[in-house]
Amino acid sequence: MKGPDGVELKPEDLLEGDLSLASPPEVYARIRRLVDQPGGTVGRVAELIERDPALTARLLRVANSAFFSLAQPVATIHDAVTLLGWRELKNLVLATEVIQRFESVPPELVDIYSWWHESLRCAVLARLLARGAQPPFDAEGLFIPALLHGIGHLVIYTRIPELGRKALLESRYRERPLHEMQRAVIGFDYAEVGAALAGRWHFPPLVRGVIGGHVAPELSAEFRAESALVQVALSASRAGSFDPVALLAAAGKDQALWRMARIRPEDLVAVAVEAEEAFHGALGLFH
Amino acid sequence: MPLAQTAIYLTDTTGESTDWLHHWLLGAGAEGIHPIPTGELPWHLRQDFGREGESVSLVLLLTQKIDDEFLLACRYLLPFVEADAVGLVGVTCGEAPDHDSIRNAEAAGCLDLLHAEERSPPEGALARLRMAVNLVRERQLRLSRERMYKAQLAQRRVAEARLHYRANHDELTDLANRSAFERALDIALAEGKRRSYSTALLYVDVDRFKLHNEAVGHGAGDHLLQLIANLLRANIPPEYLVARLGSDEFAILVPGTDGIEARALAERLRAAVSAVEPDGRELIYHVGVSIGVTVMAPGATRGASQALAQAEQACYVAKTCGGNAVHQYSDQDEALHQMHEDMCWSQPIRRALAENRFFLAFQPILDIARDRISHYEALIRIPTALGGDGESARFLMAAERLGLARQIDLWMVENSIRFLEQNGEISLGVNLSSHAFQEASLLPLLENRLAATAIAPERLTFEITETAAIMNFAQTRELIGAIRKLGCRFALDDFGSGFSSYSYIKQFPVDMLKIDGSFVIGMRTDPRDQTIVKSMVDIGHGLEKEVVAEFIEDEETFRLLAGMGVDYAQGYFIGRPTPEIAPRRRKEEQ
Repeated sequence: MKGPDGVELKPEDLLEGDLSLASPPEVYARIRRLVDQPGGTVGRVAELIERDPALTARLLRVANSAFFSLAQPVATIHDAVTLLGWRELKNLVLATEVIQRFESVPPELVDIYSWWHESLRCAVLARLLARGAQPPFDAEGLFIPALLHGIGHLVIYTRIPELGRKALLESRYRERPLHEMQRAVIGFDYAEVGAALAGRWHFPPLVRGVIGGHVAPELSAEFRAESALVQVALSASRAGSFDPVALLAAAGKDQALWRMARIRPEDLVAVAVEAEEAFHGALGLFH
Repeated sequence: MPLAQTAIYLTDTTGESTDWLHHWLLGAGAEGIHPIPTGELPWHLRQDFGREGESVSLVLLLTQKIDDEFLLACRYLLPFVEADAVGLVGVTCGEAPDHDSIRNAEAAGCLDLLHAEERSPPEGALARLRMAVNLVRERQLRLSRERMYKAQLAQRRVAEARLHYRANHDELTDLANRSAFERALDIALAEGKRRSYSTALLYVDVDRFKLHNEAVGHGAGDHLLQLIANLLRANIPPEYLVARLGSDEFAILVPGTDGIEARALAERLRAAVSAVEPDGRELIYHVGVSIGVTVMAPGATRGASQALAQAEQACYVAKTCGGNAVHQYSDQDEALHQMHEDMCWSQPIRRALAENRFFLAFQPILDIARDRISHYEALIRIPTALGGDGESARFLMAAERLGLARQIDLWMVENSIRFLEQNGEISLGVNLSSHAFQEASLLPLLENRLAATAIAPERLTFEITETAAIMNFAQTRELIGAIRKLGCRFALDDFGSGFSSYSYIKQFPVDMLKIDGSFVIGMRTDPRDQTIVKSMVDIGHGLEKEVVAEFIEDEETFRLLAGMGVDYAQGYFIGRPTPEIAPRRRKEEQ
């Protein structure tokens, strides 16, 4: 196998040259400006979201799902903001908008629905694992970072599908990690592309850090533990189900990685049932 | 009127009222004027100008004098100024700014500083505000052009990368394509020469690909090729280049390796492919690959095309050995050359037989004593359109190996007799291969044809080579006896080339001996050849057989042979083989 000799491509090029990738999702960007400034109010955020009925419906569906297991159902975005908090809601908006942006990925390369399902499996696992970590992680959950960890793949499949497919084939049949084969074929990997996108779209620092760092947490400057945890969750999610034995087998036995993630294999077994419920609840994000 | 379309924010850093400025601006035709407290300004700006490419707004920062508070307010606005979203203009209404103040304000991002003595703007203030707006707008324009240019560049790099990829890869398998492979091979060979290491090349061809392709219908072949491509991926270290060269041909480049390693890799690939179990749907037969391996010593190979040809030939040998095999190329591989030649002739010979496109050429044979042409040797020719050169019958060796000699023999007999029938005066020498004598149908064919045409049988002299005669001695002798009984004559061709001939010749029922041409050619320069030829003439005569000398190319040789008592002479000196016969005497020819 050999890389593309002659043409030097940078992760930025994939974003820069594409209108739909160059600028951040709009509602998220507006909410971010509101929330990050003093003087923003629940009312203004809710008003902003409710201008987009599809987005509103999705958010309410997720808010009312088993994913959040709220004591009482929420009927309005205003309630959702109050109950879930700014950050959670902002991140949900981000995830929803990102998912919408990538609905037109070439279907012959990746079935976008099952692809998101895989990411979602990783995300619910990461979120639940983070709770049991010792010492625990910050309040801001790992759900969104884990959900968006592979966003770079979608950029690759959209912008350079031929090279993306080649890397995919090389990885599958040589049984080598995909990011490694992407580096060989394209010159960079999906984590680099994802980090570039996260920067351009002003993702929260944690999300950005995990997207760029989960491939090699030991090399990350920040969010090392979070990145390690997402890597564990990612490996476990490849089991394809929430069967504890399968999860454990897929997660692997890299002790240094588990230690870095501040969790133990038992934690994975403990969250399996809850993860499955949360998974089905969060599917509302996609439909 | 730019000011009318520009949002103007008025703010004050020292608790002064901005009313007077507001009035003045309204009076000057400005619209969209927003008086806002300094602290809230960034928030408003963020809401309204966060997105790119929006209109310019002007911020008028009112102050008594250029003090720290003013500069701090400027600093808050700096992100917007730097993003070219805002034109910042300071308005002092107390102390007139000195040189240092102006410099500080400029450094803090102010485009201009107006001093309003007695709350009345200076002369030309309006023009200066317009100027500030235009300046920002121009910067914005430049910035957006830059952005566009950057995006176009990026777009081009992406397009180029994709194009480059497509130009170098096979669409079906995503392996490198032939041109990319040849380029890499050339580079590897040059590198190998420079660093003195060998380069190995594996040429992989799918056995019976056509069968697979036709077995399951459209798409099955593609599926098989993808399967093989992925098996190659799975079994080849990533640092070796794998390519799909053509329909069902793949190649692998292994730099810096020896034959043992390359063969082991080839063997591993062969085994991996043959281990694939048919699934009964897309694949219904077992798959095999034939792999040719060539190892090129540093500098030994001229280039990619030669290397590929070698590997391909080796692959062909593996294929003819039954497929699902590995063969390594060697330039001493005789079998390879022969096989190559045979392969080239197979089609033309079959076609010539099927379409009856062989033709005869006739070379005169001179009766020396009577000085006249006694008969002609009939020589088979293949048309140039089918690859023949009209001069020789090089294809006959290939035909023998391809098992087509028998059919050619029958064609010769058939067509010679027809010729004799049409040309009453002439006698012919006709060559037969060793296979003719294992052919049960030869004798009856001959009997029938002679009876049907009523030509004199002695006009037909069959020529059989010494080696062919010896090969199946008893049977051949018997058949020769039977044919001679019909009245035909026999000549032993290439006499002297088989060495063992003397013991056989005694009992071999032939009428003529044709001395092997190589001795005749050597006669002029090598006295030993003269001695040998002389002794062969003597033996022939001693056994009461006539002696023919072939390959006579000049007069000197002819005289020598005539002097030795040779009965017949044949060769270019007497006459070349021609498709038409113009009977004539040698002397008339001269």
